[in-house]
Amino acid sequence: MTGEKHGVAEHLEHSEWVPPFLGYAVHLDTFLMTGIVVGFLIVILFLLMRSLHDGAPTGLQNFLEVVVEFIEDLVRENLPVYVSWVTPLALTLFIFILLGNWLGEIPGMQSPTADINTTVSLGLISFTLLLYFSLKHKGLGYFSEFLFHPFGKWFIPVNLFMKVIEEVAKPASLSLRLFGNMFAGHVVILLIAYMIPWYLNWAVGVVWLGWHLFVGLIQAFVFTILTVVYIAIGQQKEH
Amino acid sequence: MELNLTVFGQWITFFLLLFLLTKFLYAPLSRVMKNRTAKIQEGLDAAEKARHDLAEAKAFYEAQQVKAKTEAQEIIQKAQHRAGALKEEFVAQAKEESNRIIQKAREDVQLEWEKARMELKREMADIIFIATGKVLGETIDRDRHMALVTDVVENVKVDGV
Repeated sequence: MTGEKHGVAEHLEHSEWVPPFLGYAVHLDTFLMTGIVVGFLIVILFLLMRSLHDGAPTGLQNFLEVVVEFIEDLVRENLPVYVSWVTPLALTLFIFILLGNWLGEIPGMQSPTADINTTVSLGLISFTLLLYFSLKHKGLGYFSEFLFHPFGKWFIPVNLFMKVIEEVAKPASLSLRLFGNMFAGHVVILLIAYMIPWYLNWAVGVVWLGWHLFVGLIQAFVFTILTVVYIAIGQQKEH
Repeated sequence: MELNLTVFGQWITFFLLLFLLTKFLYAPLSRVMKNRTAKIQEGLDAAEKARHDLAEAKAFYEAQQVKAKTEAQEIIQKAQHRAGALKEEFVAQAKEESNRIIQKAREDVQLEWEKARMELKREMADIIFIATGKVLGETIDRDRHMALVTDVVENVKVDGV
């Protein structure tokens, strides 16, 4: 904990640790929560592998098949050129963000996605994919977009400025949208706890919990589909 | 709320998760779903083949049915013709047989008639001998007068006989 803060602000602080010689802190609580998500997924995968069969699916396998098929369709419908490894990547993004979002709804836990470091790291992955596919499909033409679009060769500085902002805005908006929604949800839960009388606390809390579960699902979907759309933009030849 | 090394830590976590989910979720589930799709397609193909075979069998059965009906009709017609011919043959034979029986009966009747007439003549001759003898009061020589009596009897016509 840094500083002496009280009330809501106290609960929003991260547990930090500064590794020797590196000079930058890491958020231990975020790592712990992320570890819980990974551990939960390992358990799920273990259970799945034990009962996996190619007959009529039931229970967990049925649910996971629906999720995989949903992401597969999402990728196939949006990419002009289907790339097989994008599907597991989008699936990982979706599941990681969804479980990260929902983890914060359990008392005593917090969402790893309510930490801007998590959302920025995911946003940078999305941005890296955009750059990779843009360079792969457009080659040097991708850089010419920075210089000659949208106002032609006489406005190169303006074009460059606008294009850089446009490109940077993509991962920034992805990261900040997810972070903002999850962090705000966490803040609202704390405000409910502090401001609403104790005998009404549970009722408001339950309503907010239901709403925030929905928001968590929507945000995971939005992040995933926008990443796929950015890859699709990268694959398009024409500007 | 500042950016720090957690970003790199989360990258590592994400790629670890990407590896795990690809190897133990996406790949096995995709394989299982592909197998199931192949099985379902196989089942659909088999059903389609069975439907096709059924249609072929039905067409063959219907053709056979038509052929059998035609053949049965031909057999019935032939049998009817044969029955007609046999009937005519039997009727002709029966007529011939009945004519032959009637002819024989007539001949028998004629023969019996002749026999009866001869018997009658003999009886008449005897009566005439006896009556004549009684009238004449003497015995008539049968052998001597037989020719005479016979001639009389031969010339007697009773009711046109």
